Amino acid sequence: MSDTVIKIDSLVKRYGELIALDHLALEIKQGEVFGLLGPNGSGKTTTINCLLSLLSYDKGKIQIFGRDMSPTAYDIKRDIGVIMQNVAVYDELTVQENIDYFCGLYIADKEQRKQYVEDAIKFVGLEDFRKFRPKKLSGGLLRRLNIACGIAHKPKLIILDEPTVAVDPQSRNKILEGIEELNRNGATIIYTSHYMEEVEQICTRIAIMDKGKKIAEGTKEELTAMIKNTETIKVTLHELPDEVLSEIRSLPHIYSAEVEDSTLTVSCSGGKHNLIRVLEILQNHDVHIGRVTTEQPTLNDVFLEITGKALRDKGE
Amino acid sequence: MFFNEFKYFIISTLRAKQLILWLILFPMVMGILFKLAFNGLTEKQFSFKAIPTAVVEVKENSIFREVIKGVSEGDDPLLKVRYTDKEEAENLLIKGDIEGIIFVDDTISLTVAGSDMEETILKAFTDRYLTQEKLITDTAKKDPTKIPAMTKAMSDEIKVLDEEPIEASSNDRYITYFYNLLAMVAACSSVTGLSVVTETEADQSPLGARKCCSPTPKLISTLAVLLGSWAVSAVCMVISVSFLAFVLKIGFGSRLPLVYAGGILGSITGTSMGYMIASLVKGSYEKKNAVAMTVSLGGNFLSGLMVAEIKPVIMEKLPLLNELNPSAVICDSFYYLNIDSGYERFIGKMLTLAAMTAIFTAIGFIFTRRKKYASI
Repeated sequence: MSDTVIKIDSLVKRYGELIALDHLALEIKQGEVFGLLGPNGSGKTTTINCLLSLLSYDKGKIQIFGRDMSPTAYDIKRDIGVIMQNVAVYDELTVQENIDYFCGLYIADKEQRKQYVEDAIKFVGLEDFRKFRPKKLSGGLLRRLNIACGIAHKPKLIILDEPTVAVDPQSRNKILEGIEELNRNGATIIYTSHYMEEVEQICTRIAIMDKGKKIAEGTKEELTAMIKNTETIKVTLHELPDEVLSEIRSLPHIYSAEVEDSTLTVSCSGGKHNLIRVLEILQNHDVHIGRVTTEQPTLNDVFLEITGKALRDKGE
Repeated sequence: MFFNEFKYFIISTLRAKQLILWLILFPMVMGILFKLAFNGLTEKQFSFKAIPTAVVEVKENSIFREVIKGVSEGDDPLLKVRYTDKEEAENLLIKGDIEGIIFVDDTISLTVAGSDMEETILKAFTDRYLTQEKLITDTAKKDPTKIPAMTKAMSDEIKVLDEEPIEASSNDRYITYFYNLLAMVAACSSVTGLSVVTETEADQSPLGARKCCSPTPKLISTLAVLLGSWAVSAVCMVISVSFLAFVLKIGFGSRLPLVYAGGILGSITGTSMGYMIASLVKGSYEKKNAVAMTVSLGGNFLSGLMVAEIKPVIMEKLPLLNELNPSAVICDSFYYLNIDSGYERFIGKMLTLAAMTAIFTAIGFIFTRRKKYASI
């Protein structure tokens, strides 16, 4: 039996003239935490909605668990847990009632459901809030409730669409830990986000999307290996003469050196001891230096190098 | 899965403040206000007052005099009698000081100036006396002490003529206000019907989208929510009718079960209308709600529930609109229940409401039957 859980072939979705998904192809294996990373409007949520057969699409084929996905593929839907970007709960029901309601859409047996609801409450840490109504919960707790409603029926495939939007760091960590635990328990996860740190932290494989296209796919290491940048050195300094900057640029494995806002940013491509060489030049010319940092390439660098723009706007 | 959906829809809806406000508190508050405003009217309208009458004795009739004495004395007399000559009696009648003149000659005759309830009662009294004259005469000869009891019985029987509208077929304006209130509540049930679309369609709400991801078929979800919204509206109507009947003591009389039946069917029609509106109007819940309220209140206005003078105009100029306006049909059903002694017209309106419910529901189904959406 194939270990492919999801297979998307050449998926095209248009909104009038706008192409929301442009021949998207994905294959997700059992046990993966698969990240869909991209800026807002890149097509992540559209991909999820097509995958769940909520949205019609113009072209392509979607298979889940080896079977064609359709709105009436109830056997497939039974094994999918969905956590939507927008919190989808009843404001008038309590935490426990909400989870029981959503679990009841999948599980008819009352006794089994009772146990599953209890498990879900414990899993997201809402034991003390079971009689609370959603409006009484903080943003983070509300997101946890949303997750509990999506996973209470113990699905094999869990789709989380931006589950940490507007969540405090503590709740975010709790959510990410929970997702890792679900994966350890055997669930395959699809995780969409525009927060690269989250995707880097939990995803075993990542597809980067932009303008409805998949622009790169692989593990974090594979993705960062795709680009020229292997290391970025940043040095804060007061002043840097042009001849010193030229000397730095002439070093081997240095493909870019720029000064902006009293910070020298040096981009390296391969090689060893790049930092030492840069600092030696600065020292030889009596340049007073402040803070020195080196960074490994991130998914943002990957996105930046491929698309020429940052993954996230500043302040987002 | 059906009962899960049905159960939690009812729980969540009954906890919604908007529903409690419009379908439970609104009729209660309005009912109390109506009661306070029109209570005086009903007492005035229905408390029996002795009818001023002149008796002209052309020929002496001691037995009839006893009868007259019997019905004009006591705590709750039927007549307020003065004995005069013919000329004075006619002057009093012309001036309106009395409602009629009873002439006592070889037989008993009556002269009245109009045909109001008082004159009708006087006519009923004299007719009753004439039909029972022999019995009364015989009784007076055998046991004169029984005359007061006989006249009391006669008086009570005649008063029932006046009280009858309260119990059965009345054109009682007072109760009509409460019927109109119930008709308004039924029409406003359309708000509940909006949920059938907004909670089951993926492009209407995150909740709708989330439900569409589940293995519960959309038809099951829709049916559960539709039946749930009917049930909620029906419960609200039962509460409203019960509050009017048992707390405010509005006298629906022996037709109370039919008031429940009419109210429940009316509220189901209103709910189905909301379902249809929500399926036809694209856009947010607020937009659907605004359209539903406008249609409901507009229908209420055109059916005379807000301004009574509107309805005759519509019936004359646009009779078809009156037949197609659910508010008017609900209102008419109560109206016929109020004025007719039979049930034919009431049943006719009930059948019309049932047909409307079927049509509204069918349209709702047709416009929400899709399972995939072009955009969410």
